[in-house]
Amino acid sequence: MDQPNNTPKVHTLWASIIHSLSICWNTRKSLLIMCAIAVLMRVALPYMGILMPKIVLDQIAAQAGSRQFIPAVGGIALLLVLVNFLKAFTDSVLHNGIGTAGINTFLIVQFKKWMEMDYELMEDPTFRKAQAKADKAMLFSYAPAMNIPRTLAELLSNSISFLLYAWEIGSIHPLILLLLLLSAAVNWLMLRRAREYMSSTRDIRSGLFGKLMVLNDILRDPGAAKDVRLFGASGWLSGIYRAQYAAYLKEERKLLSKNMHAQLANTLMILLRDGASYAFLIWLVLNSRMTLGNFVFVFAAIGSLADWVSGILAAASDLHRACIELVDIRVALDYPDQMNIGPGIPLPSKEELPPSIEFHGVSYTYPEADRPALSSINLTIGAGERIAVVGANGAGKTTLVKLICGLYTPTEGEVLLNGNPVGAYNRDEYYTLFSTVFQDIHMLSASIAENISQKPPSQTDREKVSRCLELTGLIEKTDSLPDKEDSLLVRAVHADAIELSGGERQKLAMSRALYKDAPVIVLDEPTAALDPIAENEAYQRYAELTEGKTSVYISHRLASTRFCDRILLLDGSVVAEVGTHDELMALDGIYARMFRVQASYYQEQEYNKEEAPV
Amino acid sequence: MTDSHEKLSFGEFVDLFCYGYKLATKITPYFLPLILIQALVTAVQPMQVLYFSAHILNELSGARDTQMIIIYVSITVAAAFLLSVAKAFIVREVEAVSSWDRAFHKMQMFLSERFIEIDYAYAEGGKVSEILSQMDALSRSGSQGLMNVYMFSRQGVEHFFSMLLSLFLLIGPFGAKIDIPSWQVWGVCGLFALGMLFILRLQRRAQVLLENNTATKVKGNTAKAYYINYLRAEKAAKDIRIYDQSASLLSIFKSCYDLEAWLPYFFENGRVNGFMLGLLSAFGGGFYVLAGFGALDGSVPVGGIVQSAGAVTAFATSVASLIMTLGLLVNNTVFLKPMREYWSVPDLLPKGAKSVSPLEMRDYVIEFQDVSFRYPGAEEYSLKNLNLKFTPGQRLAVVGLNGSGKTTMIKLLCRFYDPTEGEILLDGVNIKEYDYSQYHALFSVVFQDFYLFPLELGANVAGGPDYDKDHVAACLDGAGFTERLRKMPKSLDTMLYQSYDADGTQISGGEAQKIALARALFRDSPFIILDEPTAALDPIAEYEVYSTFEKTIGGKTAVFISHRLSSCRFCHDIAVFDCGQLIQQGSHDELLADESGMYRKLWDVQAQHYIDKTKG
Repeated sequence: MDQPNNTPKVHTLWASIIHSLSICWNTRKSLLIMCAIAVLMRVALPYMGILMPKIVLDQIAAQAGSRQFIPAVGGIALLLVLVNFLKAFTDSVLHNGIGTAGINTFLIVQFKKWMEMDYELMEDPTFRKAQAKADKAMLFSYAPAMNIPRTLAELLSNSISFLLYAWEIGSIHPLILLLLLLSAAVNWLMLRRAREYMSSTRDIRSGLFGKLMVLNDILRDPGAAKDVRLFGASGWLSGIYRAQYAAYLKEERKLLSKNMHAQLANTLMILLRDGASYAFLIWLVLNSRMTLGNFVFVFAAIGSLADWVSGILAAASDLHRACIELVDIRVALDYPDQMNIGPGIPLPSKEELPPSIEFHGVSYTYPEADRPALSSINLTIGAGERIAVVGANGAGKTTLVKLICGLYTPTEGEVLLNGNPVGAYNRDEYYTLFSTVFQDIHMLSASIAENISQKPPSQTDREKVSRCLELTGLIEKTDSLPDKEDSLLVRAVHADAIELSGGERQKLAMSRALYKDAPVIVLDEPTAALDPIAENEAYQRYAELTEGKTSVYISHRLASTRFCDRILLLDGSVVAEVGTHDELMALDGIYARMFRVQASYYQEQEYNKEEAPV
Repeated sequence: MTDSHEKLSFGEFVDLFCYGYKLATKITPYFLPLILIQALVTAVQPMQVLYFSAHILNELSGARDTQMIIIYVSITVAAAFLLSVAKAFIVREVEAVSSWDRAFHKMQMFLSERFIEIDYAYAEGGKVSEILSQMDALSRSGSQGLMNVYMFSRQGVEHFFSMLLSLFLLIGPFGAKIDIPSWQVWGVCGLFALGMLFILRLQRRAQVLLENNTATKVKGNTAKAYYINYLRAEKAAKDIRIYDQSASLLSIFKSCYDLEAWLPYFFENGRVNGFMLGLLSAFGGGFYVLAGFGALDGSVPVGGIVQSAGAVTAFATSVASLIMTLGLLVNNTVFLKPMREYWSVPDLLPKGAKSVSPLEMRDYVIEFQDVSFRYPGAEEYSLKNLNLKFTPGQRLAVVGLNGSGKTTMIKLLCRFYDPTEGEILLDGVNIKEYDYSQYHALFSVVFQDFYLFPLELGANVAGGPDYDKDHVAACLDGAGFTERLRKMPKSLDTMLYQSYDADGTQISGGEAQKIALARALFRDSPFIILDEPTAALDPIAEYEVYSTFEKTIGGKTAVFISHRLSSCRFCHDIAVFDCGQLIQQGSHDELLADESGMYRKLWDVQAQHYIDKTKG
């Protein structure tokens, strides 16, 4: 495989901000408009709040009559009602709305990506690492990267307020402003140290957090429940959990202590600042250089200036972090595909099917693996041929079929279908040529019929479903169910779903492959969980099921090979032996040895309990 | 599934409400006293500033006694300083105990620890899993349930103290001396009360929207969780591509992540908050106008106006917030139901006290007497009138078709379930009477769907972190893992898989099966049970495992379940199951001699592929 061209695009801070603003705009325009209103209200409300006592006191000092007093104070009171309403309304809606809009959009895009990207890349460690970072950035709707418009509004309102208050205070006396700026600067430095500590330990803390989440998954896995109990592992597991939680809490406490130190330093700063400014302002009032109204006003403004400073700092560092995390998300989402997703050459016509498949010097190395899983494979599977693939665990059998299905692209060499390289076909059109049963079987939380047709009930051919159920022998099971093939599957989702055994699942997967009726059938250990009778029936019907199709069959049960035209034995990443059963037995190589080992158990005449088979 | 919509009776409500605090205290012992201290410190701060600034203003506008002013300023600045210092310390403690994520993780830990202790029948699926996913959905959408008990309690006590303190600044010895005609006061208060009623109605509407959304979300949540897992490379990603499932899955996700479904709730909530704050400011503003108007003639000191206006606003705010918070706490109570249910699912298996030690008990006999079993909620019996005896040193093979009850029998033998009818006896005593974990220690099992923990290899084999390394290595050797062990980067300390430790080592299905086998060998227990132990192994590896078995098992009693009848050849005794019943039992030769028997049928079907071929 060529080195994938996946160096992330450079996303600047601005690009990230614009990207998330445009997502918000496209999802729901009103949310962004509300952000703008929120900025205005967040500036206006506290400002009016400290203006109000000043106006009242000024009116009293001026010994205003009720004619001036009521419209002036009443007017501003009414305005405050409106501003309060708007601020609380927009804050509340944005608090949940922005993050929800963001995470819903990103998650849908992400799920789409997972379903449509090259399968091969999903297993690629580079992508997995990128995805793990993206996952962290999308944990929940309050994650910073989901809330960029809100954080931006925060930054704007704090900055505007800071400028406004600085101007107001400065216009009353520049000396106070100087004092305040000084204390604000110290405040800024203190908080920044705590913030920096927070961001420098983010990876450690999110690692610890992630481990706690995985421990939950482990402890609550129903699949682990038998082993946990029988092997008495609960003490061990909860010991690990408690130790992990203690480690997590220790890290968190360190952070909390840093915050506390910043707070304490800040408190000392405020003591000095308030003491000094109180003294100065009182001196001004006593010397009649300031009205009482202005005293109240400026004193309140001084108190809040520090809030704007820490607000700006918090918003700026949140925004910075959010943009970094948004880049993490976009790197995973924009991870480029390697396969042909553009228009491909037309698929073979009906007359050209079933197709032939050829391997020309094909090697495949898994990303970051030190040796190839398959090397220099040359192989021709004729049109309509039935091939059995056998070999030891880890010989590369599953890799071979994934190459055939177009799930992997060879690292070297070419796979050809009807003489054309697989890469010449459109990736997704190519998949339509295959019916597969893989070792691991997964079901949709839908009815049995839908699981087989892979279509909604209205588009499901019921007769064809029954026929497929009959061919695989699952019909006895479905007929015994009250809802027949309309019975729902997956207990984890539907409480009234039925549970299929391992053998029944394999029959279901086989039925699904038959329903699709594609020209190439690929079966990876499709009978491992079947009992001897069901397994034998599957063998007997194999010829019928693969009639007119090219087929590849992987199995550890060598008996199955007799129903195939040719056997392919993989050993140590190469094709070690090819031929019919008789040819390979005559060759007396690995296949013959494997077969004898397995067969010896069944040959009772020669069997002797004291004698080791082989 | 519990329905959070059912109305609670008053008694149930009080019970559940108290339960929330009991549980919170159990999970985070000091949380109540801590939040009380924090709330007090937090509430005093603004009130003392208000009180002393009023005095400063009075001095400034009246007598202008510099000494008094200095005293007042010193007190307020010093008090503010001390309170802030106290608050910084207490906040650290409160945050460490009951902030959202700290408390959340601790709660999750308690839930998980509970899960590994409850009876197996619950853990296997169904009700308890549903409760868990319900709680998960609840705590993720708006933190309903226990998390809100933490958050709202903190807010609630703070509002309560603010209310008391602001009342002090209005009436009594610390109260502001102002004069407003009482009809005006009552008028404003009456309007305020009306406004509050309106807001509480809005809040109820928001709550209904939330409950509806949460109810659908709980349903959607289980499907969503299933399908998110489904998308992964090691799961169904192949099926999605080959069977073109992406369009239909995408529509499921779109309906689960639908912003439009949430917006009405967000807006309703916005209105509640908007009207609330609007009302409060109208109240405060109205009071300002009244008090200021009364002071226009200079009869009231300006400090009194500032103090009373501030105190009134604070009082109104805290009363309203307290009402809202209490409302939220009340509404939240119903969401504690699944939590209580989770902690109080009844024990299904009576646990006896009789001691049984695997070391002393080499010679034991286990006997199934007329055992029948139905899975909870199932109509059909999985086992019917089973009589089966396990004798010391026996090698018993259990064979039969899919669904004939083989694995169920193992689950009963290991006492994951108790028989519906009949009894299982160990040395003539019903197994229910033995200590549960000591009884479990009698068995080493490789389940068909065994589970390895994504933790250290050695600890996996030993079932815990403290083990004899040589013994573990010997068991891995017995399972044919030695060669692979040599390639493990940290030998026995290598982490398996990559889900817990990103630097862990991936292992194949065959390798995992060998580790599971080693784990079964490690336990020096008198019983060893293997359910399809070689299904994922290639013929050579399978042969190696079986050929060393005699040696590794030694004098233990062994039970094999396998579809590969060849594995039965190692056993003295074979039991054939069909439709939940034991239909044949005997040695291989005896069973084969019965030409019409099920065993013969199974054997012939499998053997035919091997016998005539080698001869041909």
